[in-house]
Amino acid sequence: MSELEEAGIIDAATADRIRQYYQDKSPDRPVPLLLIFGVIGSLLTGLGIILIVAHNWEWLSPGWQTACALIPVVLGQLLLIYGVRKHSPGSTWRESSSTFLVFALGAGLAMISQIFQLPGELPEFLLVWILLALPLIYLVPSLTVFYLGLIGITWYGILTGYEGRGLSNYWWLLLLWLPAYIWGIRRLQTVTWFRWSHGLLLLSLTILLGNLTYPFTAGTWLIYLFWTGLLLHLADLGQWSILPWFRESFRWIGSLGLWLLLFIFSFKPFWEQWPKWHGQYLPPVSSSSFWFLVASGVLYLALFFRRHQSGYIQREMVLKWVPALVSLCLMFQVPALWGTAILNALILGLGVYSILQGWRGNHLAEVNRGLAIILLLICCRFFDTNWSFIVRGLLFTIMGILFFAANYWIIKRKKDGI
Amino acid sequence: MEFKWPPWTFPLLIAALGIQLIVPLSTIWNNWRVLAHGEKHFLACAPVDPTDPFRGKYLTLHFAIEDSSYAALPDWEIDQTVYGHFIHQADGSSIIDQISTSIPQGDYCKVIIADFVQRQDGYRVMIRLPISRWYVEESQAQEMEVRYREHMRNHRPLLAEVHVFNGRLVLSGLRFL
Repeated sequence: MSELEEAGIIDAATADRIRQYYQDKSPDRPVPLLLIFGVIGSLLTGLGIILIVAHNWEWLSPGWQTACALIPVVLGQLLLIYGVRKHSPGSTWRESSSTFLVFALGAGLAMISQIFQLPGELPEFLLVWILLALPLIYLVPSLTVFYLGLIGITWYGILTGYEGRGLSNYWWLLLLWLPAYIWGIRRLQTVTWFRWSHGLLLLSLTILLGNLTYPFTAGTWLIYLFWTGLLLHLADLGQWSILPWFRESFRWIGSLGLWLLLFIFSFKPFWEQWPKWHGQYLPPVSSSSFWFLVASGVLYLALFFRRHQSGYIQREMVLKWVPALVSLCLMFQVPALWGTAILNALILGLGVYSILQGWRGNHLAEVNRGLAIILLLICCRFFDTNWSFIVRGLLFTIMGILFFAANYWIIKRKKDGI
Repeated sequence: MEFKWPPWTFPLLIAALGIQLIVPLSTIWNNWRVLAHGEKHFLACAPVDPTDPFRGKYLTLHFAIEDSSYAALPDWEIDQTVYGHFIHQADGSSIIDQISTSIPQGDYCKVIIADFVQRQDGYRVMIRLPISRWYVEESQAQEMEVRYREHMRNHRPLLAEVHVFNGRLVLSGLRFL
């Protein structure tokens, strides 16, 4: 580059632009090892402090106990201030000192409520902790606190989201967290460590989706079904799929959720319970849950009839059809026996399909995924069928032999270069 | 993973760190004020023993007054916060004799409506006190529970010592009588 510049072929500005271009384009910027160890170290120290605190040191006077509670916090703060003054953003110093501070803060708060017998349950405690720690994401700034924050917010959501009192504070906390995420998407795309946040956010949203479906009716199941379908569609919708890890995150969380639902639906008691779920089949029209159901259904259908990009994977196409099929069965309230039979056949079919696809393409993982699905299905049927031990034993033996045979043959075929 | 960050965030960071200290300290201050100036009451109770992942072992307290019902107005709702009025009894323990939506004279604290029923003699509510935990040292939790069970089997009263000040309620001890 400098050679070209000296020869006068390109001017200095162009050279800079080209350098910038290649710098931006350069693939992954991995996490330095020191950073990982620093953060793990402070995580462990912090967690250790919390456990020690949980012991409740009664023989110390309240004054000393308070001092013990606040010393780690002040220490963490001093370390953090030093880190921020002397080291650049994203450095090991900033990340590990803020991680330590987060845990010291949690321990300190817990200890004080213990010493002074303060009222309040775990959710309220978590809320104070999260609110005091969240500014560190923006002011340090710290990616570790960014992750810890999302985990904390999700935990708070799980504790409060399903009590049945409508909207959880989870959503407001998430709003405080989201600007950091949006900033990260624009600026930290190439940082490997940031990419996990897509998947984690989707997982958090999926777990707390149920909170929006209050009052919880049978419709909640439909919403979840459409949601997994939506995620699978979003995996290859427009620009998103270009961004690294976005696609993978949508695909992973979408299929994880869908498989979980399919296996739940494969139990007969579910279908017997279905028409009379929580006393009402669909949420009342006046509730937001109803409109949420309609919106997710319409969105899923809209994407359903969209033209697919070239280069799609056949297996994913099939998976996207599944929510439509299952939701039809659910909405028409097919008899319990039929519903169970259809779902079991569907799972079995998907398993066999996966095995065949893998076999054709010599993909060992694909074949094993299919076998695992069928095996899991058999395990599930152990709970609600009265098959004799001979049948069960035979099924397991056959599956075991299949596992061996399939893997053996594919490895052999790969070796032979077919 | 290096990037630039505006320097004006530093004063804000210091402010945020300050708040991290002010929040626990102000709680301690409020608590101390109640203990120093509050009126002492004894409430009859009955504990059990779960674990909180962060704050160690504690006894969950259930107060006898939470089992009695109070006259209510029809527009009150479950989970609403109302005021309970404390009175001392002849045996040394205290009870809440009435609840209201306005601040009563004398010792009072905020209570939460736990249940709402309509009976022939009018509307009645059950209440829940804002305090429910007594933290004990890890090794003592088991011992406390055994002691409590013994105590209850012999039909002897267990009293919780609380301080009441300006509507705040602070738990300060347990009395095995």
